[in-house]
Amino acid sequence: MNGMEIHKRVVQLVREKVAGTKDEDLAIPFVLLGEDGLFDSVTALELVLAIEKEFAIVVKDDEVRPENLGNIESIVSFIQAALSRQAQSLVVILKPTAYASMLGMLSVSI
Amino acid sequence: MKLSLIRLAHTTPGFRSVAKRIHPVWFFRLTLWSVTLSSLFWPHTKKLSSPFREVLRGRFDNQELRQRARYYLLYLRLFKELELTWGNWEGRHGDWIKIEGESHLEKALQQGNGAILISSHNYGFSKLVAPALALRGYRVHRGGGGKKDGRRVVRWGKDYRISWQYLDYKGDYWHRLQLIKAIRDALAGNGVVHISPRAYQQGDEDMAIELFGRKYFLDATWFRLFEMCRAPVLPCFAVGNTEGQVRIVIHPVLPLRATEMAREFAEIQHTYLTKLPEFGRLWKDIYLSRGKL
Repeated sequence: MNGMEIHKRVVQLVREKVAGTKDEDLAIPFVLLGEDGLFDSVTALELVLAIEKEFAIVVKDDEVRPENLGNIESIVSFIQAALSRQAQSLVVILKPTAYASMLGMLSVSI
Repeated sequence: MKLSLIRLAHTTPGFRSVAKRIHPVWFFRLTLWSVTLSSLFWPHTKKLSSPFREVLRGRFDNQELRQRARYYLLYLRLFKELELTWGNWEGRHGDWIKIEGESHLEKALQQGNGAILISSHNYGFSKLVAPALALRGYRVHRGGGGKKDGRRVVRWGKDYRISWQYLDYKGDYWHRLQLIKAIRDALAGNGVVHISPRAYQQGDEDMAIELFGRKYFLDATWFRLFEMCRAPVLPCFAVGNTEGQVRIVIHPVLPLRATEMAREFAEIQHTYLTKLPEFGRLWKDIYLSRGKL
């Protein structure tokens, strides 16, 4: 999934949460979440949960920070990073060397 | 006369082993005796109970009001000190803490969406709810601000995090968001969350409650969050009895809609304040605001 596609889906999620959101509200520098943001904390939580569901990622408590979720731009970058982390961990599991190290751990624990 | 028997006995190294052996009920009696003496001879103590007596004058006859004012002073003191005894009375909490209405909580948890217990912020011994329920095997999370973790470890024992968790709230937007996300995650794992929402002097009209002629506003954010999480919400009040025990009373589930939930919770809160006013800690505020109404 590329950045544009993620951006489109995040904008759609934001519009679902706050009806009548204008395009200028979603411009890159606009604060979406935060003290001066468009969303209060409960609506922000709804958005975070919707992002988790839509992109099948987990947003950890310590990742709930302005640099990850402050505006559309940061949300898109955060999702991209989370998706690539997931893909990397999948690659590691599929690598034969990873299997070998897992078997090694198993034999040690036995 | 501000000598605190509980503080002295449970926090001074030489006295701790002695305090362990004294039954909690005796501490209750000794503190009541000390408060009675203090209110007779110490002007500061008399002054402490005067808002309570002024606000409730006319609701009870003089003798009962005097008696309740004495217990009000006692619980004011115990509220600050009772938790100091927690570590020292390990193994005998069943002697002084009783849980009523636990079946409501069990039934609520069977739905698999967790359960939220709400207490009034300025009423009763709500700090004891999470540790007491954790002892009964529930996975409890208590949300809110408060002491630093190191001080909590001193108070509740170093293993307190194993049985129950304190979800910190440091005041800003991002902490609030982290806190409510942690609450939602705990509920998704069928955990129990205990919260004591504050009432404010300004707020949403939907959340307005009237207590003794004074208008307060419950925090709408909490009730909207409860509605969003779709977890059963149960009022929970921790009060004492005249035998020195703490009763944790869990009420049946509240309606799901935020405004109805807040209204029903406010009614229960009002009933407690009317019937057992001595556990409230808002009398000074109500008394001082009377002239402004």
